[in-house]
Amino acid sequence: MLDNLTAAREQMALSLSFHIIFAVFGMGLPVLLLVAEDRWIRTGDAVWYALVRKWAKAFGVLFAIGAVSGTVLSFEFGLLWPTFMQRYGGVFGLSFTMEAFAFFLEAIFLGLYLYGWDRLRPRAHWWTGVPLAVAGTASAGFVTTANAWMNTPVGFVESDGRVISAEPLAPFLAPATPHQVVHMVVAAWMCVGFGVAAVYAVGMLRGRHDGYHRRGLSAGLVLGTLATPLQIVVGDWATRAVAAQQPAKLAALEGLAHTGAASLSLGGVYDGERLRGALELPGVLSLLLHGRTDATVLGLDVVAPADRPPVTATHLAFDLMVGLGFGLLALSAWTLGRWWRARRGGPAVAASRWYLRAVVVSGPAAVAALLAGWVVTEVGRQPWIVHLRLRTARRGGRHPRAVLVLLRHGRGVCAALGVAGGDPAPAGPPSCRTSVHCG
Amino acid sequence: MTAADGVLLVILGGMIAYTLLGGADFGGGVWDLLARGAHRHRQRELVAATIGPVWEANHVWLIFVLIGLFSGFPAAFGELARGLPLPLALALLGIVLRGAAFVYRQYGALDPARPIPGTAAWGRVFAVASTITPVMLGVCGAAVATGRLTGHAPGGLAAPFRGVFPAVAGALTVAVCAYLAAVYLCREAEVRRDPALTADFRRRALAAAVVAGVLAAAGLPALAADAPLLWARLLSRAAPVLVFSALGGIASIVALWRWRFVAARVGAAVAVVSVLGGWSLAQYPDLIPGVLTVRAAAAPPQTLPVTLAVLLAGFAVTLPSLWLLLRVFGKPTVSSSAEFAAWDVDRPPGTGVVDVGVGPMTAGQRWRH
Repeated sequence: MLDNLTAAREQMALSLSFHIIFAVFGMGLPVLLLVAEDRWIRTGDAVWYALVRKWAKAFGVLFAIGAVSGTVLSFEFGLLWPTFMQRYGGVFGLSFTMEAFAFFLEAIFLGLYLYGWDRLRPRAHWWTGVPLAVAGTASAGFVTTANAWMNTPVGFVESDGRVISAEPLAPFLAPATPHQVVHMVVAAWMCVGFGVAAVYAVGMLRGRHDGYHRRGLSAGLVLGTLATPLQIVVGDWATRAVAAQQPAKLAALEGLAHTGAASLSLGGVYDGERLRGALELPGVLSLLLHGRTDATVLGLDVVAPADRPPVTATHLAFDLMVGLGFGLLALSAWTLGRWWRARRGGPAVAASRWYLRAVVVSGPAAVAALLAGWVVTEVGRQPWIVHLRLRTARRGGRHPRAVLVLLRHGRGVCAALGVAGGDPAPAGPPSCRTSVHCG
Repeated sequence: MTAADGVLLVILGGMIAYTLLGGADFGGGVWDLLARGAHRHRQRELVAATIGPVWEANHVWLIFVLIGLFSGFPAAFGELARGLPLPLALALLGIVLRGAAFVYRQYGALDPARPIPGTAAWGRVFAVASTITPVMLGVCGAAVATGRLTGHAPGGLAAPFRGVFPAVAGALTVAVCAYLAAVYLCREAEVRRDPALTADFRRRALAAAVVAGVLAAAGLPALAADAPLLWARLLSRAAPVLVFSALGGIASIVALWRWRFVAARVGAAVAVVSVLGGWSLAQYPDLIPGVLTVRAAAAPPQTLPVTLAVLLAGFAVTLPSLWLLLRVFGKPTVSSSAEFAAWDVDRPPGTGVVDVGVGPMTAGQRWRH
């Protein structure tokens, strides 16, 4: 049986992972909805209409599941980490207050959007989707500021373990906020873009090459391929920022044991002293971070062994995230190439089965990259829950065992919920009873 | 009045909204569990049709209460989480089970030709979970009022459950939820022109009222015994509010007896608001009696005015949006609750029935266009 701290960490990690998958659709799907509905309004093409109605319905389900999992997180913050909440809740509370209102607004405008098709004129209906997109993105942005604050805590004064004064806007002033928020928003776009494209690619592999699938595929791909190059650039920004703000995390994600001129290490396992089995590119890390191959990069040796994060997990998660990111970049380039050839009279973008298979994989790949990235930032911050201020181990709960068992059962239910929720939005158009979406 | 008091008032408002809206929601589940008689299938259908549209909007208030607490009074949030782990975890389990069962039932049976096996089981889960959560939240309230928190009172994890008062409070919470739901469902059945269902739920509402009344009467001496200070304050400071509550309850029952369901709803709301208000008034300024006062639990002083301002500004934006939503849809034409059919994407716009899904809608109305 796991010890209480590990069980609590595991529970939190699973709850957060579950929630974030549904939350990214809350951020990204409204963008697709707005684009598709705009296409329908401008062109009158009923295929766009069919896509929008389908996506809106799927959005409703995903939103509901996201809402329940969000409630779970609110409880778990208290049940699993009461000392953390008690000490710092007042400092980063504003992030969650803003997030709650953004969520409430999103729920309201979702109601208008889902039910207003025949009550509002088309353009007015489209406008109800705008607050949906804005509120969804804002909500996730606000929540990310809380996490950014945990990584780079600023704006408060502590005495004897109690916060005696705090800047109300502290989470928004955290140095990590800009890059974390942008990175998260773009990641959501990638997940939704490739996720939606993957759904229609599956249908196409099964032989359904109608207008419905083609447009669904192209809408997803446009979002994904626009977001990915941007994300690579943002990722570079984020890594440099982490190098400056949380050197131990950077050292862990790169698997850098010793301070000095640093190589880029791909893969490998950390044995407590150095990384073993990695592919080393000498001087490349120094070059990437500081522009010179002999620039000094802080390694794990700047912190005592007890203060080092779990290196292997952080490093491999980082390599996975970056690897998948570059894989998606390659897919984006391939997509661009195919589109260019198709424009010049070559084969259609979706004509290649191998290409479609790659698109199918890209959906889960984007989500895997998302989760890997969160592993990097959360595990890389250990042993701190608030960087350099509060250790995760000082959880402070009493009698946690029974509570953890109960939460584990809840987790099982969530898994069943996720399976059930995944059912109602299957790939493929509804039955072909009208000519609207056949062919 | 300080910013801390202001945030506290907002939290109280959230608790009231959650009790009235979420409570009725839970109560619906209770009636689903207790559906009996010749019309039990129609009873269950009515419950499902009523809950469907407003489910999320009902439960968002809980989020505001939790967030208001940890933003405004983080020490209290921590103490409550440490002091009530078992009832809170059980309440959460109930919420998750309800959510799962609800989504599964709502969205899982999209294609009538492919019925999902085990849907009836999920129905049971939904109904049982709907009963667990109000009981647990009632126990939490009682534990706070009497100071019976894990770590502050004997009993370990079971500390909040010990004694008569928590049991009475838990049962009373369920009874009140059931009453709120039944009164609501009476009106919904009436609007749907179903006299048999209306009579069914009126009987149930009256039964729930009797149970609630008995429990409330039993609860008072139990509270007096377990929390003498709070009891004394209730009698001195909050006496008028408690009288108001009793009057509201009686008015509600009288209105119900005379088939006046809208008035019954109003009376019930007055009773609930008064009880919560009276309790808060009596307990102030002890956030957790014997453990934390409002001042001791408050967040760093610079943050409170901003938290309060954001809360007020936020509601200033969202509540009118909510009103806009209800206005856009106006008065619905009502179709039979048996038409709980999935929206069919094949139908071009302008025909057919839109399914009820998520969203803060006036409960129970189906839109025909």
